[in-house]
Amino acid sequence: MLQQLFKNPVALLCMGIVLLTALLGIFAPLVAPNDPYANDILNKFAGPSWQFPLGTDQLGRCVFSRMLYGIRPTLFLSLLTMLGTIGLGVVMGITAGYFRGTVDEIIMRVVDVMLSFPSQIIILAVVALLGVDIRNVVIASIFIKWAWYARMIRTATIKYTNMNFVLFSRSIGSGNFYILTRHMLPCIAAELAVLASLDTGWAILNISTLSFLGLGVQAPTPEWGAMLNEAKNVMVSNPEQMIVPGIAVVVLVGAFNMLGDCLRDALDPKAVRQ
Amino acid sequence: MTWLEHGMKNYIIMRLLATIPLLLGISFLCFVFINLIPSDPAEVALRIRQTPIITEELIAQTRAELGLDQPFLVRYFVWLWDCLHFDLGFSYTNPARTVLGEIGRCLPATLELAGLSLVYVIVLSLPIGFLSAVYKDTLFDRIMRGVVFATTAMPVYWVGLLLIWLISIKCDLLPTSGYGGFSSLILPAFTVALSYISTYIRLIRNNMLENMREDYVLYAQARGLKQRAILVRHILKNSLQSCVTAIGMSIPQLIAGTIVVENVFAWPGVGRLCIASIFNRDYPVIQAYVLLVGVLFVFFNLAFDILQYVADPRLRERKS
Amino acid sequence: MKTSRFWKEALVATVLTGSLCVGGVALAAEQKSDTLNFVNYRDVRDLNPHLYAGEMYAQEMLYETLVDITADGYKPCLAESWDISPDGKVYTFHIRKGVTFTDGTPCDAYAIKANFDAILENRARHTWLEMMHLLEKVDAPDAHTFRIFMKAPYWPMLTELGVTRPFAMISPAAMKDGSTKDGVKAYIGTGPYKLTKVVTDEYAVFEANENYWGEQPKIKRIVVKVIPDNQTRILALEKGEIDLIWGKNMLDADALNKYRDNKDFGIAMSTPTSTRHIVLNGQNPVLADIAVRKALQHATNRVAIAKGVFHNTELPADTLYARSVPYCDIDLPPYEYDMEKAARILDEAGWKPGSDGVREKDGKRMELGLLYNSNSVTEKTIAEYLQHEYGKLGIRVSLRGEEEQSYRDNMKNGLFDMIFNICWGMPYDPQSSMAAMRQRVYGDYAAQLALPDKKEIDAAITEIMSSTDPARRQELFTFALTHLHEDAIYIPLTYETNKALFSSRLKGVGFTQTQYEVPFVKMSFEAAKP
Repeated sequence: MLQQLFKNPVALLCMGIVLLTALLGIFAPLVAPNDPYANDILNKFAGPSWQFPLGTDQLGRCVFSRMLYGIRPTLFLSLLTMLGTIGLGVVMGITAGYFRGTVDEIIMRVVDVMLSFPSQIIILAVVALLGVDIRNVVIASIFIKWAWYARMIRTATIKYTNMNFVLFSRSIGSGNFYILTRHMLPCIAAELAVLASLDTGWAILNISTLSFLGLGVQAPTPEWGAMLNEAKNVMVSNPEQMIVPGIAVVVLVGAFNMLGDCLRDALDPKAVRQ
Repeated sequence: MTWLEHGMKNYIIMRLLATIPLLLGISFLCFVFINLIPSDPAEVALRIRQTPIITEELIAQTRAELGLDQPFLVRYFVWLWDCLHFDLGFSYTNPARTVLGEIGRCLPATLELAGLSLVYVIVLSLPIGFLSAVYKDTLFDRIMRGVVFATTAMPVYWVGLLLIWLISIKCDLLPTSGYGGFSSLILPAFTVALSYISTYIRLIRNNMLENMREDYVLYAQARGLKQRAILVRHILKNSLQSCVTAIGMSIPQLIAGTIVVENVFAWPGVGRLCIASIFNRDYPVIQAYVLLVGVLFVFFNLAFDILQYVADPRLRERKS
Repeated sequence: MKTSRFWKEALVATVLTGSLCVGGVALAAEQKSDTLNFVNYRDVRDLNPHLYAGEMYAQEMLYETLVDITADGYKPCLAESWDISPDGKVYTFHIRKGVTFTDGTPCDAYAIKANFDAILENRARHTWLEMMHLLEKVDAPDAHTFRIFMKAPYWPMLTELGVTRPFAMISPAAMKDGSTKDGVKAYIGTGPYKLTKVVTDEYAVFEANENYWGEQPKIKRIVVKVIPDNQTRILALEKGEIDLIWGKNMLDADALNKYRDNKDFGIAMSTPTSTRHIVLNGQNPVLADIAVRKALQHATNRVAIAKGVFHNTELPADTLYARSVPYCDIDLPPYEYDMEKAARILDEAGWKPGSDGVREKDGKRMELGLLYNSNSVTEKTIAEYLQHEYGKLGIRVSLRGEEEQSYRDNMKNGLFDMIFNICWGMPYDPQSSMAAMRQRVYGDYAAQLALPDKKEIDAAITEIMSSTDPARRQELFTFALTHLHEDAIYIPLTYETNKALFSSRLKGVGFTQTQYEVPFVKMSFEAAKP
């Protein structure tokens, strides 16, 4: 599967974009020409120059440096969200699917309730409750998204539980934990990868949207959605401010989505032929 | 035709009964939510009444008055009873207004927005999805797939901003934002619709392609039916059914999806009310909003599920 | 063959969408010339003139007071003239004859007495006005005479009677059993306009009062649209959806600058109205240290704020009240911008940078919150600027923006470390705003509460209120203002101005002495072109 993925030029390009973005984010202090927080209020809305490759914003801060530092919350918090989501979803899904019975019943009813709200609403409610902060956005996203994973993984687990190798493993006396971690997880890993890469795109959009609404990353921390929020405030006088962060979001989310599609194709060759 | 045959009736009743625990779960979640907030409701109530000096005694008294000293579950059922009577309490920030009044004031604008978006979704995604499937892998299909791909990656608020800038500022064709007649509805509705349009184009296209491989198509071809007739009468008709269900079930999504757009376009709907309430920590309004969307979600799911069941004989057999 | 059919369908779909768009455009183009489209960032809300929850510009349009405050002093309004007894305790107002409320009820002395009764019923709510403590009783011996009896003479009496609320007159027929404290039945006044329609959070319509006793306004109809967002307001103006943006926090300087040389739009700017400043809460354990407050003063570059944020449409402020404010022409040494000095002050006071660069002392970290009004178009920018500036000193500032109402609630209840505030401006400054520092009216009370000299300052203010000797008053004002300045509890930023941006068809846009009153009466449209 992975080999096939590496042969696909589109997938390679997407991985390249994601990797490059991640590297730029990690090494932002080395790459960025200016301090993203340094303001020079007398030099606001300056055009591009050698010193400020993408010009300056409403406080005279370097837009390029802020874009680079903005990768950190955007990309890394999305990855963190996904990690948490998958972690919780896997635990709940496998527990439900493997043990069945009352445990399954309870978990699945909770999942039903969770899934009966549009995810945006739950996130807003949690943020409203815990207070406006990016940490709460991450918590809220995990809180709503795990249910999807739990349901999917439960189905997969049930499917695999009756497969011969699992039955065999059990018959030779392997413990539950061993079966779960050694047999079940690898089986569903591929499906997880597809869903996760598609959902990372979702998580990025989600974090930037909430920051745009002022509910996520707070000033002065640079974040693409928050930058667009600031750009909105000067839309008439300085519309150019909303170009760069917007394109950056589209490219990154697009890369993750495309990667997810490629993964799915690699996973399921039948779908490609169709 | 005996419209409500026995099995169908049973199914519908079962389905209706199944929503009760779901609704209870949703309402319970909403109730827990308001009870988790850090501020003391008794103190808030006193502040709303503009009591100049708030003492501990007064708080205790108000607690008893509001029934806050009752056990948790008792309060939940009292609250639920009130909700069923459409009594959702008062807004914290604007005590002169009831929560129901606030929601009622803002809901029509949101419904208008969601309604027109739905029209856009149907009017645009059906023909495009259909044509994409028919002309699979032609230039048209490729372009449309490109557009679909791009729109799924674009943040809704950014699309909104770009549209305002391009259509309203540069070309001066439509009002920039705010509520005022049909012209002000066009851009926000389109923005809401955009992400759903791409989803449905893909859905319809894939559905059509799947149907094209079905045996009945082969059979129809063998019968010598014209390709056009097969496409329209059989494939499209069959694909439409599942698509309509999917679109119907996404109506609450559409309503919830207006939040961001309402804030970009300053549209006076419940979404903007909700965001403003979050900033002002006006918990009863947020609670009511969450409850509303949750109930809508359950309702539309139920309605279209039943509709699909009634419309699709295959499904009926499988389920009974 | 089959293609044509499909394309036809596609065409229909396109045409349908297109025609929807065109229809919309046609609707938008409609406009009337005798209507002024005004804008405000929020709803008119509760326009009960005896309470404080309504928009003041709207209250000024609907209601009138006994006297008017103008640049040339007090002018008659509902009272044609007045006499003050030699001992300064009895005010006799001769009420203008023939004035009626817009519901037809005559506005005579009895109606005014009914208003005062309603106001006094809720006296505790109005004690921010010092006269409430001194007022003994009111009476109306005949239909044209109204008297106020005071316990002691009070020099700013006429000013306080001239402020919009609570002393504006509403028709007694609109009161609920002679009471207004729990709301009114309708918003009926004697002013040049009457309110004809309100759609909550969307718009309000005012129409000229045809029976107005004074000069008839030229603009017969005013529609006030609610547009909370600054950019949207400007766009709406540019597209002709509104004709006038007017106010202190309704326009940012960048937008204003953009229209400076545009012949389609006019710009007007008032003389400074009040001081934009930051209040430091002395009860905060970090800000309780005067050295910290002084360091913050020195770390604030007012000149850069005035130039960078306001393009010098607002000028830097050195003191809480401008020297042009009565009694405030005092020599106070300004806290000059000097980062090194600020750092030195903090070092000397024992605030040493910790491992993460944030200063600390005795386990207290220098972390402060700065609360701003998210409805204001410039406070966030200033806040972000200061956040970085103070950060350089090792002071970590976190920002929080709240909507006007909850921002004010927080201020009133002292729930802030640092908060943006604005002086009340004329005619309240300095006497009414300082009188209010002694009670929980605004943020000042909480902020000053922990000051060691709070008692002396309060005593001085109390004496000012009853002092009949202007020289003594000056002495006391000097004392109080000097102490407040030296306590460094206020960081003055700029002198705020009222700004207006309007379609050049609109003439006569200006400002009055009362910063909240939009002088619609003086405005008119240029003769319509054929």
